[in-house]
Amino acid sequence: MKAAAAARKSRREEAIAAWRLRIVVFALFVAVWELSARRMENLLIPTFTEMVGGFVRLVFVTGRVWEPLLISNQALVLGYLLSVVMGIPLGLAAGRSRWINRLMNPYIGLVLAVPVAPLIPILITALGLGLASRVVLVVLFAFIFITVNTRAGVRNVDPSLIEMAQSFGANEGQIWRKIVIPGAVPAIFAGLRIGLGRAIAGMVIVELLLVATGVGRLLLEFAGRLQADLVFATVFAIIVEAVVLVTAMQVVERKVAPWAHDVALG
Amino acid sequence: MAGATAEVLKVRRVSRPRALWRPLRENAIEGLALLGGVLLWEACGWLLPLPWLPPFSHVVAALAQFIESGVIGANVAVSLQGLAIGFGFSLVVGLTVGALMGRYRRVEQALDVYVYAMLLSPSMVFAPIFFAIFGLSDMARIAVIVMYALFVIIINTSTGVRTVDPALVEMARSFGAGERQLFLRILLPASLPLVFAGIRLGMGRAVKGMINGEMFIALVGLGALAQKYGSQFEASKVFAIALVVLIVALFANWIVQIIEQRLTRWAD
Repeated sequence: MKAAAAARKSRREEAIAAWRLRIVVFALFVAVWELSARRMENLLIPTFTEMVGGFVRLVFVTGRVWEPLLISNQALVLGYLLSVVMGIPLGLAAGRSRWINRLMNPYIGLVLAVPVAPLIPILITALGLGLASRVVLVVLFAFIFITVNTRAGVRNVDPSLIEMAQSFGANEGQIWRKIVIPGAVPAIFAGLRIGLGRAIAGMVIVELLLVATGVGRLLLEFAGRLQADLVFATVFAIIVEAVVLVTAMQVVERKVAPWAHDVALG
Repeated sequence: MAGATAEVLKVRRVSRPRALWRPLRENAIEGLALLGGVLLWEACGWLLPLPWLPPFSHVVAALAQFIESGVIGANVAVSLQGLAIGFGFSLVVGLTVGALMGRYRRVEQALDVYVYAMLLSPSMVFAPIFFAIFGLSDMARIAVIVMYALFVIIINTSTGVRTVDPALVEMARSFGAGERQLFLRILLPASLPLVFAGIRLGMGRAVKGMINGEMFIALVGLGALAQKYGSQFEASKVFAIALVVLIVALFANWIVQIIEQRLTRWAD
Protein backbone atom coordinates (compact mmCIF):
# COMPACT_ATOMS: atom_id res chain seq x y z
CA MET A 1 0.00 0.00 0.00
CA LYS A 2 2.66 2.41 1.15
CA ALA A 3 5.04 1.28 -1.55
CA ALA A 4 2.39 1.87 -4.22
CA ALA A 5 1.74 5.38 -2.94
CA ALA A 6 5.44 6.10 -2.89
CA ALA A 7 5.80 4.79 -6.42
CA ARG A 8 2.94 6.99 -7.57
CA LYS A 9 4.48 9.99 -5.86
CA SER A 10 7.88 9.41 -7.45
CA ARG A 11 6.26 8.96 -10.83
CA ARG A 12 4.54 12.30 -10.40
CA GLU A 13 7.79 13.92 -9.39
CA GLU A 14 9.41 12.41 -12.44
CA ALA A 15 6.70 13.84 -14.71
CA ILE A 16 7.11 17.26 -13.14
CA ALA A 17 10.87 17.09 -13.64
CA ALA A 18 10.35 16.14 -17.28
CA TRP A 19 8.09 19.13 -17.89
CA ARG A 20 10.45 21.44 -16.09
CA LEU A 21 13.20 20.24 -18.40
CA ARG A 22 11.01 20.74 -21.47
CA ILE A 23 10.21 24.31 -20.43
CA VAL A 24 13.87 25.10 -19.80
CA VAL A 25 14.84 23.70 -23.20
CA PHE A 26 12.07 25.66 -24.89
CA ALA A 27 13.16 28.87 -23.18
CA LEU A 28 16.72 28.20 -24.28
CA PHE A 29 15.57 27.55 -27.85
CA VAL A 30 13.61 30.81 -27.92
CA ALA A 31 16.49 32.80 -26.41
CA VAL A 32 19.03 31.46 -28.91
CA TRP A 33 16.67 32.11 -31.84
CA GLU A 34 15.80 35.62 -30.66
CA LEU A 35 19.36 36.70 -29.95
CA SER A 36 20.94 35.21 -33.07
CA ALA A 37 18.20 36.61 -35.32
CA ARG A 38 18.70 40.04 -33.77
CA ARG A 39 22.45 39.91 -34.22
CA MET A 40 22.22 38.74 -37.83
CA GLU A 41 19.72 41.46 -38.75
CA ASN A 42 18.84 39.40 -41.80
CA LEU A 43 15.70 40.50 -43.58
CA LEU A 44 14.89 36.87 -44.28
CA ILE A 45 15.17 35.52 -40.73
CA PRO A 46 12.62 36.91 -38.29
CA THR A 47 13.20 36.94 -34.57
CA PHE A 48 11.02 34.69 -32.47
CA THR A 49 8.90 37.59 -31.23
CA GLU A 50 8.36 38.79 -34.80
CA MET A 51 7.19 35.34 -35.80
CA VAL A 52 4.79 35.13 -32.87
CA GLY A 53 3.52 38.61 -33.72
CA GLY A 54 2.99 37.54 -37.32
CA PHE A 55 1.17 34.40 -36.20
CA VAL A 56 -1.15 36.37 -33.92
CA ARG A 57 -1.91 38.82 -36.71
CA LEU A 58 -2.55 36.10 -39.31
CA VAL A 59 -4.71 33.97 -37.09
CA PHE A 60 -6.52 36.39 -34.79
CA VAL A 61 -6.22 40.00 -35.98
CA THR A 62 -6.48 40.00 -39.77
CA GLY A 63 -7.43 36.33 -40.01
CA ARG A 64 -5.67 36.13 -43.36
CA VAL A 65 -4.68 32.51 -42.89
CA TRP A 66 -8.22 31.14 -42.62
CA GLU A 67 -9.48 31.46 -46.17
CA PRO A 68 -6.38 29.86 -47.75
CA LEU A 69 -6.50 27.13 -45.11
CA LEU A 70 -10.12 26.47 -46.01
CA ILE A 71 -9.26 26.22 -49.71
CA SER A 72 -6.38 23.85 -49.04
CA ASN A 73 -8.39 21.71 -46.70
CA GLN A 74 -11.15 21.15 -49.24
CA ALA A 75 -8.67 19.12 -51.27
CA LEU A 76 -7.41 17.44 -48.11
CA VAL A 77 -10.84 16.35 -46.89
CA LEU A 78 -12.10 15.12 -50.26
CA GLY A 79 -8.82 13.43 -51.15
CA TYR A 80 -8.47 11.79 -47.78
CA LEU A 81 -12.03 10.45 -47.80
CA LEU A 82 -11.47 9.05 -51.29
CA SER A 83 -8.24 7.47 -50.13
CA VAL A 84 -10.02 5.76 -47.26
CA VAL A 85 -12.84 4.54 -49.49
CA MET A 86 -10.31 3.19 -52.01
CA GLY A 87 -7.51 2.12 -49.74
CA ILE A 88 -9.33 -0.06 -47.22
CA PRO A 89 -11.23 -2.31 -49.70
CA LEU A 90 -8.08 -2.75 -51.81
CA GLY A 91 -6.11 -3.71 -48.72
CA LEU A 92 -8.81 -6.09 -47.52
CA ALA A 93 -8.94 -7.81 -50.90
CA ALA A 94 -5.16 -8.11 -51.14
CA GLY A 95 -4.92 -9.39 -47.59
CA ARG A 96 -7.55 -12.09 -47.97
CA SER A 97 -6.90 -13.37 -51.48
CA ARG A 98 -3.47 -14.62 -52.44
CA TRP A 99 -4.20 -14.13 -56.14
CA ILE A 100 -5.38 -10.56 -55.87
CA ASN A 101 -2.37 -9.86 -53.71
CA ARG A 102 0.05 -11.28 -56.27
CA LEU A 103 -1.59 -9.29 -59.05
CA MET A 104 -1.49 -6.09 -57.01
CA ASN A 105 1.92 -6.56 -55.45
CA PRO A 106 4.07 -5.07 -58.23
CA TYR A 107 1.74 -2.09 -58.48
CA ILE A 108 1.78 -1.51 -54.74
CA GLY A 109 5.57 -1.53 -54.86
CA LEU A 110 5.49 0.81 -57.82
CA VAL A 111 3.11 3.32 -56.23
CA LEU A 112 5.16 3.25 -53.02
CA ALA A 113 8.40 3.92 -54.89
CA VAL A 114 7.26 6.23 -57.67
CA PRO A 115 7.91 9.92 -57.05
CA VAL A 116 4.55 11.68 -57.28
CA ALA A 117 5.70 15.29 -57.57
CA PRO A 118 7.17 15.13 -61.11
CA LEU A 119 3.87 13.67 -62.33
CA ILE A 120 1.86 16.70 -61.19
CA PRO A 121 2.07 18.36 -64.66
CA ILE A 122 0.55 15.21 -66.17
CA LEU A 123 -2.27 15.45 -63.68
CA ILE A 124 -2.84 19.09 -64.53
CA THR A 125 -2.93 18.35 -68.26
CA ALA A 126 -5.52 15.71 -67.56
CA LEU A 127 -7.69 17.48 -64.99
CA GLY A 128 -6.87 21.16 -65.17
CA LEU A 129 -5.73 23.53 -62.45
CA GLY A 130 -8.83 23.14 -60.30
CA LEU A 131 -9.84 21.23 -57.24
CA ALA A 132 -9.92 17.85 -59.05
CA SER A 133 -6.16 17.79 -59.63
CA ARG A 134 -5.43 18.57 -56.00
CA VAL A 135 -7.85 15.94 -54.78
CA VAL A 136 -6.33 13.25 -57.01
CA LEU A 137 -2.85 14.24 -55.87
CA VAL A 138 -3.82 13.88 -52.22
CA VAL A 139 -5.22 10.44 -53.08
CA LEU A 140 -1.98 9.46 -54.83
CA PHE A 141 -0.05 10.44 -51.71
CA ALA A 142 -2.29 8.83 -49.12
CA PHE A 143 -4.20 5.78 -50.29
CA ILE A 144 -1.27 3.40 -50.70
CA PHE A 145 -0.31 3.62 -47.02
CA ILE A 146 -3.88 2.80 -46.03
CA THR A 147 -3.89 -0.14 -48.44
CA VAL A 148 -0.56 -1.53 -47.29
CA ASN A 149 -1.45 -1.30 -43.61
CA THR A 150 -4.89 -2.82 -44.12
CA ARG A 151 -3.33 -5.70 -46.03
CA ALA A 152 -0.79 -6.26 -43.27
CA GLY A 153 -3.57 -6.21 -40.68
CA VAL A 154 -5.64 -8.81 -42.52
CA ARG A 155 -2.59 -10.99 -43.02
CA ASN A 156 -1.79 -10.84 -39.32
CA VAL A 157 -5.15 -12.31 -38.39
CA ASP A 158 -4.47 -15.75 -36.95
CA PRO A 159 -5.43 -18.25 -39.70
CA SER A 160 -6.40 -20.85 -37.11
CA LEU A 161 -9.23 -18.54 -36.00
CA ILE A 162 -10.57 -18.49 -39.55
CA GLU A 163 -10.21 -22.25 -39.84
CA MET A 164 -12.07 -22.77 -36.61
CA ALA A 165 -14.90 -20.49 -37.71
CA GLN A 166 -15.09 -22.35 -41.00
CA SER A 167 -15.22 -25.71 -39.26
CA PHE A 168 -18.13 -24.38 -37.21
CA GLY A 169 -19.91 -23.56 -40.44
CA ALA A 170 -19.32 -19.81 -40.74
CA ASN A 171 -19.75 -18.43 -44.23
CA GLU A 172 -17.40 -15.93 -45.89
CA GLY A 173 -19.52 -12.94 -44.84
CA GLN A 174 -19.48 -14.00 -41.21
CA ILE A 175 -15.75 -14.63 -41.30
CA TRP A 176 -15.26 -11.09 -42.60
CA ARG A 177 -17.52 -9.45 -40.06
CA LYS A 178 -16.57 -11.45 -36.99
CA ILE A 179 -12.91 -12.26 -37.49
CA VAL A 180 -11.02 -10.59 -40.31
CA ILE A 181 -12.15 -6.98 -39.95
CA PRO A 182 -12.02 -6.80 -36.12
CA GLY A 183 -8.57 -8.39 -36.22
CA ALA A 184 -7.33 -5.91 -38.79
CA VAL A 185 -8.72 -2.79 -37.09
CA PRO A 186 -5.54 -1.75 -35.24
CA ALA A 187 -3.43 -1.93 -38.39
CA ILE A 188 -6.12 -0.16 -40.42
CA PHE A 189 -6.11 2.71 -37.94
CA ALA A 190 -2.33 2.93 -38.07
CA GLY A 191 -2.68 3.16 -41.86
CA LEU A 192 -5.33 5.85 -41.54
CA ARG A 193 -3.00 7.90 -39.35
CA ILE A 194 0.02 7.52 -41.62
CA GLY A 195 -2.17 8.20 -44.65
CA LEU A 196 -3.45 11.39 -43.04
CA GLY A 197 0.10 12.66 -42.60
CA ARG A 198 0.88 11.86 -46.22
CA ALA A 199 -2.33 13.53 -47.38
CA ILE A 200 -1.34 16.76 -45.64
CA ALA A 201 2.09 16.53 -47.27
CA GLY A 202 0.47 16.08 -50.68
CA MET A 203 -1.81 19.05 -50.11
CA VAL A 204 1.14 21.32 -49.36
CA ILE A 205 3.39 19.99 -52.12
CA VAL A 206 0.93 20.48 -54.97
CA GLU A 207 0.22 24.05 -53.88
CA LEU A 208 3.89 24.91 -53.60
CA LEU A 209 4.99 23.31 -56.85
CA LEU A 210 2.29 23.89 -59.42
CA VAL A 211 -1.22 24.89 -58.43
CA ALA A 212 -0.63 28.15 -56.58
CA THR A 213 -3.63 28.35 -54.27
CA GLY A 214 -4.50 27.95 -50.61
CA VAL A 215 -1.77 28.05 -47.97
CA GLY A 216 0.90 27.25 -50.56
CA ARG A 217 0.10 30.42 -52.44
CA LEU A 218 -0.01 32.40 -49.20
CA LEU A 219 3.50 31.15 -48.39
CA LEU A 220 4.83 32.04 -51.84
CA GLU A 221 3.22 35.49 -51.65
CA PHE A 222 4.78 36.31 -48.30
CA ALA A 223 8.13 34.91 -49.41
CA GLY A 224 8.00 36.99 -52.59
CA ARG A 225 7.35 40.15 -50.57
CA LEU A 226 10.15 39.27 -48.14
CA GLN A 227 7.73 39.24 -45.20
CA ALA A 228 9.78 36.71 -43.31
CA ASP A 229 7.73 36.95 -40.11
CA LEU A 230 4.58 36.00 -42.02
CA VAL A 231 6.35 33.19 -43.91
CA PHE A 232 7.47 31.62 -40.63
CA ALA A 233 4.06 32.24 -39.07
CA THR A 234 2.29 30.48 -41.95
CA VAL A 235 4.69 27.55 -41.76
CA PHE A 236 4.00 27.38 -38.05
CA ALA A 237 0.24 27.40 -38.68
CA ILE A 238 0.56 24.50 -41.13
CA ILE A 239 2.69 22.54 -38.65
CA VAL A 240 0.08 23.16 -35.95
CA GLU A 241 -2.65 21.84 -38.24
CA ALA A 242 -0.65 18.72 -39.13
CA VAL A 243 0.28 17.95 -35.52
CA VAL A 244 -3.25 18.53 -34.24
CA LEU A 245 -4.89 16.38 -36.93
CA VAL A 246 -2.48 13.46 -36.67
CA THR A 247 -2.43 13.56 -32.87
CA ALA A 248 -6.24 13.55 -32.82
CA MET A 249 -6.14 10.54 -35.11
CA GLN A 250 -3.73 8.86 -32.71
CA VAL A 251 -6.07 9.51 -29.78
CA VAL A 252 -8.96 7.93 -31.70
CA GLU A 253 -6.69 5.03 -32.61
CA ARG A 254 -5.80 4.38 -28.97
CA LYS A 255 -9.47 4.54 -27.98
CA VAL A 256 -10.58 2.14 -30.69
CA ALA A 257 -7.66 -0.24 -30.52
CA PRO A 258 -5.58 0.26 -27.38
CA TRP A 259 -3.48 -2.80 -28.16
CA ALA A 260 -2.51 -1.39 -31.52
CA HIS A 261 0.99 -0.93 -32.79
CA ASP A 262 2.39 0.08 -36.14
CA VAL A 263 2.63 -2.67 -38.69
CA ALA A 264 4.13 -0.78 -41.54
CA LEU A 265 5.55 2.70 -41.44
CA GLY A 266 5.40 5.50 -43.96
CA MET B 1 35.15 -31.64 -43.38
CA ALA B 2 36.88 -30.43 -46.53
CA GLY B 3 34.96 -33.04 -48.52
CA ALA B 4 31.69 -31.75 -47.16
CA THR B 5 32.47 -28.18 -48.19
CA ALA B 6 33.43 -29.36 -51.67
CA GLU B 7 30.14 -31.22 -51.84
CA VAL B 8 28.22 -28.09 -50.93
CA LEU B 9 30.11 -26.05 -53.48
CA LYS B 10 29.41 -28.60 -56.20
CA VAL B 11 25.70 -28.68 -55.44
CA ARG B 12 25.56 -24.95 -55.48
CA ARG B 13 27.31 -24.71 -58.83
CA VAL B 14 25.00 -27.23 -60.42
CA SER B 15 21.89 -25.53 -59.18
CA ARG B 16 22.91 -22.05 -60.23
CA PRO B 17 21.08 -21.92 -63.58
CA ARG B 18 17.95 -23.13 -61.89
CA ALA B 19 18.42 -20.55 -59.15
CA LEU B 20 18.46 -17.90 -61.84
CA TRP B 21 15.20 -19.14 -63.28
CA ARG B 22 13.44 -19.66 -59.99
CA PRO B 23 12.68 -16.02 -59.17
CA LEU B 24 11.32 -15.60 -62.69
CA ARG B 25 9.08 -18.61 -62.33
CA GLU B 26 7.94 -17.80 -58.82
CA ASN B 27 7.12 -14.23 -59.73
CA ALA B 28 5.45 -15.12 -63.01
CA ILE B 29 2.09 -13.68 -61.95
CA GLU B 30 3.61 -10.45 -60.72
CA GLY B 31 5.59 -10.17 -63.94
CA LEU B 32 2.51 -10.82 -66.04
CA ALA B 33 0.57 -8.23 -64.07
CA LEU B 34 3.23 -5.63 -64.79
CA LEU B 35 3.47 -6.63 -68.44
CA GLY B 36 -0.31 -6.41 -68.72
CA GLY B 37 -0.20 -2.91 -67.27
CA VAL B 38 2.45 -1.81 -69.75
CA LEU B 39 0.50 -3.28 -72.70
CA LEU B 40 -2.69 -1.61 -71.48
CA TRP B 41 -0.84 1.70 -71.21
CA GLU B 42 0.56 1.28 -74.73
CA ALA B 43 -2.86 0.43 -76.16
CA CYS B 44 -4.58 3.32 -74.38
CA GLY B 45 -1.81 5.64 -75.52
CA TRP B 46 -2.47 4.75 -79.16
CA LEU B 47 -6.25 4.44 -79.03
CA LEU B 48 -7.22 7.37 -76.82
CA PRO B 49 -6.29 10.83 -78.05
CA LEU B 50 -5.24 12.02 -74.58
CA PRO B 51 -2.39 14.53 -74.59
CA TRP B 52 -1.30 13.44 -71.12
CA LEU B 53 -1.11 9.74 -71.92
CA PRO B 54 1.52 9.06 -74.56
CA PRO B 55 2.14 5.38 -75.44
CA PHE B 56 4.70 3.73 -73.20
CA SER B 57 7.01 3.28 -76.19
CA HIS B 58 7.16 7.07 -76.59
CA VAL B 59 8.24 7.35 -72.97
CA VAL B 60 11.00 4.81 -73.57
CA ALA B 61 12.02 6.68 -76.72
CA ALA B 62 12.16 9.96 -74.79
CA LEU B 63 14.27 8.26 -72.12
CA ALA B 64 16.66 6.87 -74.75
CA GLN B 65 17.00 10.31 -76.29
CA PHE B 66 17.71 11.84 -72.89
CA ILE B 67 20.41 9.30 -72.18
CA GLU B 68 21.96 9.72 -75.60
CA SER B 69 22.10 13.51 -75.38
CA GLY B 70 23.69 13.30 -71.93
CA VAL B 71 21.04 15.56 -70.37
CA ILE B 72 20.02 12.92 -67.89
CA GLY B 73 23.55 11.93 -66.96
CA ALA B 74 24.54 15.46 -65.96
CA ASN B 75 21.35 16.08 -63.99
CA VAL B 76 21.43 12.72 -62.24
CA ALA B 77 24.97 13.49 -61.12
CA VAL B 78 23.92 16.84 -59.64
CA SER B 79 20.89 15.31 -57.94
CA LEU B 80 22.84 12.40 -56.51
CA GLN B 81 25.48 14.75 -55.16
CA GLY B 82 22.83 16.68 -53.23
CA LEU B 83 21.28 13.44 -52.08
CA ALA B 84 24.61 12.09 -50.82
CA ILE B 85 25.42 15.24 -48.86
CA GLY B 86 21.91 15.70 -47.45
CA PHE B 87 21.45 12.07 -46.56
CA GLY B 88 24.97 11.75 -45.16
CA PHE B 89 24.36 14.70 -42.87
CA SER B 90 20.97 13.30 -41.81
CA LEU B 91 22.60 9.96 -41.10
CA VAL B 92 25.36 11.33 -38.88
CA VAL B 93 23.12 13.75 -36.96
CA GLY B 94 20.15 11.35 -36.87
CA LEU B 95 22.12 8.42 -35.50
CA THR B 96 23.89 10.57 -32.91
CA VAL B 97 20.81 12.40 -31.66
CA GLY B 98 18.71 9.25 -31.84
CA ALA B 99 21.23 7.22 -29.84
CA LEU B 100 21.47 9.95 -27.19
CA MET B 101 17.68 10.18 -26.97
CA GLY B 102 17.39 6.43 -26.66
CA ARG B 103 20.08 6.14 -24.01
CA TYR B 104 19.40 9.16 -21.82
CA ARG B 105 15.87 9.86 -20.72
CA ARG B 106 16.64 13.53 -20.08
CA VAL B 107 17.77 14.06 -23.68
CA GLU B 108 14.63 12.38 -24.90
CA GLN B 109 12.40 14.53 -22.73
CA ALA B 110 14.20 17.65 -23.89
CA LEU B 111 13.80 16.94 -27.61
CA ASP B 112 10.83 14.63 -28.11
CA VAL B 113 8.26 17.38 -28.74
CA TYR B 114 10.32 18.92 -31.53
CA VAL B 115 11.23 15.65 -33.21
CA TYR B 116 7.61 14.50 -33.07
CA ALA B 117 6.30 17.77 -34.52
CA MET B 118 8.88 17.77 -37.31
CA LEU B 119 8.14 14.16 -38.15
CA LEU B 120 4.43 14.86 -38.50
CA SER B 121 4.59 18.13 -40.36
CA PRO B 122 4.87 18.21 -44.15
CA SER B 123 8.60 18.73 -44.75
CA MET B 124 7.95 20.67 -47.93
CA VAL B 125 6.63 23.75 -46.05
CA PHE B 126 10.22 24.52 -45.16
CA ALA B 127 11.24 24.84 -48.79
CA PRO B 128 10.15 28.50 -49.10
CA ILE B 129 12.09 29.32 -45.92
CA PHE B 130 15.27 27.63 -47.12
CA PHE B 131 14.84 29.20 -50.52
CA ALA B 132 14.52 32.64 -48.93
CA ILE B 133 17.55 32.14 -46.68
CA PHE B 134 19.92 30.25 -48.97
CA GLY B 135 18.71 31.52 -52.34
CA LEU B 136 19.61 29.48 -55.38
CA SER B 137 22.61 27.82 -53.75
CA ASP B 138 22.94 24.07 -53.23
CA MET B 139 22.34 24.60 -49.53
CA ALA B 140 18.63 25.14 -50.13
CA ARG B 141 17.99 21.79 -51.78
CA ILE B 142 20.29 19.96 -49.37
CA ALA B 143 18.43 21.48 -46.42
CA VAL B 144 15.13 20.24 -47.86
CA ILE B 145 16.58 16.72 -48.13
CA VAL B 146 17.70 16.89 -44.49
CA MET B 147 14.22 17.98 -43.37
CA TYR B 148 12.78 14.97 -45.18
CA ALA B 149 15.25 12.34 -43.98
CA LEU B 150 16.49 13.37 -40.54
CA PHE B 151 13.57 12.87 -38.17
CA VAL B 152 12.51 9.39 -39.16
CA ILE B 153 16.12 8.28 -38.56
CA ILE B 154 16.16 9.94 -35.14
CA ILE B 155 12.85 8.35 -34.08
CA ASN B 156 13.80 4.84 -35.19
CA THR B 157 17.28 5.01 -33.68
CA SER B 158 16.02 6.24 -30.32
CA THR B 159 13.28 3.59 -30.24
CA GLY B 160 15.82 0.93 -31.19
CA VAL B 161 18.29 1.91 -28.48
CA ARG B 162 15.61 2.39 -25.83
CA THR B 163 14.03 -1.00 -26.43
CA VAL B 164 17.27 -2.99 -26.19
CA ASP B 165 16.72 -5.78 -23.65
CA PRO B 166 17.70 -4.25 -20.28
CA ALA B 167 19.05 -7.65 -19.18
CA LEU B 168 21.75 -7.32 -21.86
CA VAL B 169 22.71 -3.89 -20.56
CA GLU B 170 22.81 -5.11 -16.97
CA MET B 171 24.95 -8.09 -17.88
CA ALA B 172 27.43 -5.92 -19.73
CA ARG B 173 27.56 -3.58 -16.76
CA SER B 174 28.14 -6.41 -14.30
CA PHE B 175 31.04 -7.58 -16.44
CA GLY B 176 32.47 -4.11 -16.07
CA ALA B 177 31.65 -2.54 -19.43
CA GLY B 178 32.06 1.22 -19.58
CA GLU B 179 29.62 3.53 -21.34
CA ARG B 180 31.67 3.45 -24.53
CA GLN B 181 31.86 -0.32 -24.64
CA LEU B 182 28.20 -0.56 -23.75
CA PHE B 183 27.34 1.61 -26.73
CA LEU B 184 29.58 -0.08 -29.25
CA ARG B 185 29.23 -3.70 -28.12
CA ILE B 186 25.65 -3.92 -26.86
CA LEU B 187 23.37 -1.05 -27.73
CA LEU B 188 24.53 -0.49 -31.30
CA PRO B 189 24.36 -4.08 -32.55
CA ALA B 190 21.17 -4.92 -30.64
CA SER B 191 19.31 -1.92 -32.00
CA LEU B 192 20.57 -2.38 -35.57
CA PRO B 193 17.38 -3.83 -37.13
CA LEU B 194 15.23 -0.89 -36.02
CA VAL B 195 17.98 1.60 -36.81
CA PHE B 196 18.18 0.24 -40.34
CA ALA B 197 14.43 0.40 -40.71
CA GLY B 198 14.81 4.10 -39.98
CA ILE B 199 17.69 4.46 -42.42
CA ARG B 200 15.68 2.75 -45.16
CA LEU B 201 12.67 5.01 -44.55
CA GLY B 202 15.00 7.99 -44.36
CA MET B 203 16.57 7.13 -47.70
CA GLY B 204 13.15 6.84 -49.33
CA ARG B 205 12.15 10.19 -47.93
CA ALA B 206 15.49 11.75 -48.90
CA VAL B 207 14.89 10.86 -52.55
CA LYS B 208 11.45 12.49 -52.34
CA GLY B 209 12.97 15.54 -50.68
CA MET B 210 15.59 15.66 -53.43
CA ILE B 211 13.08 15.70 -56.27
CA ASN B 212 10.58 17.99 -54.52
CA GLY B 213 13.23 20.46 -53.45
CA GLU B 214 14.74 20.58 -56.93
CA MET B 215 11.31 21.07 -58.45
CA PHE B 216 10.67 23.96 -56.09
CA ILE B 217 14.00 25.68 -56.70
CA ALA B 218 13.88 24.70 -60.38
CA LEU B 219 17.50 25.41 -61.16
CA VAL B 220 19.47 22.16 -61.31
CA GLY B 221 18.97 18.43 -61.13
CA LEU B 222 16.24 16.02 -62.14
CA GLY B 223 13.59 18.10 -60.39
CA ALA B 224 14.43 21.19 -62.43
CA LEU B 225 14.27 19.08 -65.57
CA ALA B 226 10.88 17.72 -64.54
CA GLN B 227 9.64 21.24 -63.83
CA LYS B 228 10.91 22.48 -67.20
CA TYR B 229 9.25 19.80 -69.30
CA GLY B 230 6.22 19.85 -67.02
CA SER B 231 5.60 23.51 -67.73
CA GLN B 232 5.87 22.74 -71.46
CA PHE B 233 3.43 19.85 -70.90
CA GLU B 234 5.65 17.36 -72.70
CA ALA B 235 4.08 14.27 -71.20
CA SER B 236 6.43 11.59 -72.54
CA LYS B 237 9.48 13.50 -71.28
CA VAL B 238 7.87 14.01 -67.87
CA PHE B 239 7.14 10.29 -67.62
CA ALA B 240 10.71 9.52 -68.69
CA ILE B 241 12.10 11.70 -65.90
CA ALA B 242 9.77 10.09 -63.37
CA LEU B 243 11.12 6.74 -64.55
CA VAL B 244 14.68 7.92 -63.93
CA VAL B 245 13.77 9.14 -60.44
CA LEU B 246 12.16 5.77 -59.78
CA ILE B 247 15.38 4.04 -60.80
CA VAL B 248 17.39 6.37 -58.54
CA ALA B 249 15.05 5.55 -55.65
CA LEU B 250 15.33 1.81 -56.22
CA PHE B 251 19.11 2.06 -56.55
CA ALA B 252 19.43 4.03 -53.30
CA ASN B 253 17.21 1.53 -51.54
CA TRP B 254 19.28 -1.36 -52.91
CA ILE B 255 22.50 0.15 -51.53
CA VAL B 256 20.96 0.54 -48.08
CA GLN B 257 19.75 -3.06 -48.22
CA ILE B 258 23.17 -4.40 -49.15
CA ILE B 259 24.81 -2.56 -46.27
CA GLU B 260 22.07 -3.76 -43.94
CA GLN B 261 22.60 -7.38 -44.96
CA ARG B 262 26.33 -7.05 -44.36
CA LEU B 263 25.90 -5.57 -40.91
CA THR B 264 23.03 -7.68 -39.62
CA ARG B 265 24.27 -11.02 -40.84
CA TRP B 266 24.71 -12.10 -37.21
CA ALA B 267 20.97 -11.84 -36.66
CA ASP B 268 19.97 -14.91 -38.67
